[in-house]
Amino acid sequence: MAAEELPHEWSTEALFAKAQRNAEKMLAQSKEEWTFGFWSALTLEMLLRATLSNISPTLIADNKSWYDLYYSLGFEPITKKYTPKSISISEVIKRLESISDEFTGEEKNYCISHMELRNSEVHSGDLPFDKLNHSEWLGKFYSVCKILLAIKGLVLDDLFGTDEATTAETLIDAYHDKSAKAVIGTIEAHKEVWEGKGDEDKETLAKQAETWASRNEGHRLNCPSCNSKALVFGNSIGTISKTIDEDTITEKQNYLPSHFECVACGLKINGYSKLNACGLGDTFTATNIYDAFEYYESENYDKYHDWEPDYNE
Amino acid sequence: MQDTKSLNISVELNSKGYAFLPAFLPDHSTIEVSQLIGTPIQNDKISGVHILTPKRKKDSKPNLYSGNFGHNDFPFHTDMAHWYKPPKYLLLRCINGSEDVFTKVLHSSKILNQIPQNKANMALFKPRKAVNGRLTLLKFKQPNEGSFLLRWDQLFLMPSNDAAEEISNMFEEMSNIDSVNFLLNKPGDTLIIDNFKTFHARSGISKKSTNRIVERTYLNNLNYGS
Repeated sequence: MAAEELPHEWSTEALFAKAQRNAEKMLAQSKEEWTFGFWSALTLEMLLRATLSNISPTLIADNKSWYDLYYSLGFEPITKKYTPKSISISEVIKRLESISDEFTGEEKNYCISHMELRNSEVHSGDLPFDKLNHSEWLGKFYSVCKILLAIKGLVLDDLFGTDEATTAETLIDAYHDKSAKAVIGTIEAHKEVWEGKGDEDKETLAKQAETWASRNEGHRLNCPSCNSKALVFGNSIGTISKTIDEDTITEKQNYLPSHFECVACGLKINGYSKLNACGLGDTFTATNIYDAFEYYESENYDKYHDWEPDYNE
Repeated sequence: MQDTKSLNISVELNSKGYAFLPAFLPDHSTIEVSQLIGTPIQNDKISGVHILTPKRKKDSKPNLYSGNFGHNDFPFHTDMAHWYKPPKYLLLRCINGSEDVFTKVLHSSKILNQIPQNKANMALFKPRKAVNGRLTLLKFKQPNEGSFLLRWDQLFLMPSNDAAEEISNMFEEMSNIDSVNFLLNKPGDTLIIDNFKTFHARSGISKKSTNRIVERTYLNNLNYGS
């Protein structure tokens, strides 16, 4: 086994390490921010390249010049101004589809569309990631990542860490749960009943719902059936992030939706798959702001503060 | 010439991560002994025999351990940790001994036991300085030929993510380390260290040990199995 100063820049190890760094950057963003989607695209690109290079770095080399093939084999061509060129990401995706049974046309199409968003972000004045709700794409994204990682003999934990891998599995299950679409029918049924009510009834119920939603803990949003104020409840995911800013301490905790309730039309939806199927699957963040004194008071408060100093007399 | 087979070097290295050969073939040169034991590395930057002598900080350079730690303790590290694949073995051989300077060897399992597995797998470091003009990410626990290598160097590596930051802090806060300590005291005393399975360190240099001379070579593999 020979010592080596550097990995080949197209080696699966180097590309995967970068995918991991991009994944960490992605998870450090709020899921509501466009940067979350942007970093997800950079993660996917590196993972796609790492997966293809797992077979051989020669598959990454640009076809146009034999210099690049030579370079991919670990040699440096003796030519002036040589810069290594690799194939485009769309070519990487095409090759993976031809090589792997698991990476099918469905995965190929998703990867191409996600890479198009990245291209649009980098090369145009449009804001493609700003208009995306992560509940629409994140399950599919993780599902594709899981397939690519499996080709390399890895699992979601290896790229996203244990906490996020657990959330990712829930999102993947929801993405594959076709029966969850039945919830759309339930919503329509509630909508029909709601529309059959008189205007006065609707107004009273909507007011009651607004009061209820503001007095209970949960994430407030509009009911997909009657448009009244309703609540989504969730299970905490990841760790609490804490920021300290002079006199205040802000704690943020992300939640994965688990249950929806509207007291106006009576619609209730249980389970992430169903919530995701009707567009209520976005994770939400609970933010608590504390006064620094109030925050530390309980642990710092000296219950003996008005006593004289301890003394062994 | 002594038969290295009988010395069970590879057995020792496999089980403990080091093999110590007291006063081994003292009349032979370090390169002869290295060739007898294994295959010295052929690489422009680290091939051949390196003569290691204590140097004061001011007499050394900042890219060297002596330039940073001088005669003080050298901390535990992997040799060439900032390389993608560091040398597998290093061989240290006493030329001019000292009675109070220890070479310390710490088996990586003692470190790995203290780190959650997912942290060890996720930790990424960067060399503090570009290598041949390139910077690349290096895994703390890097898969290697069916096994793995662990890398650590508090000077030449920089943490590149939270997991690596935690591991760095752990190394820096480490105390009462249960290492095995060797004196390279008599000519020919030879210590072979598995650079993938262990970390090594050097104790401080006393006034009477400033004339210590140790020669080092790097080996790719052993002649009798590894």
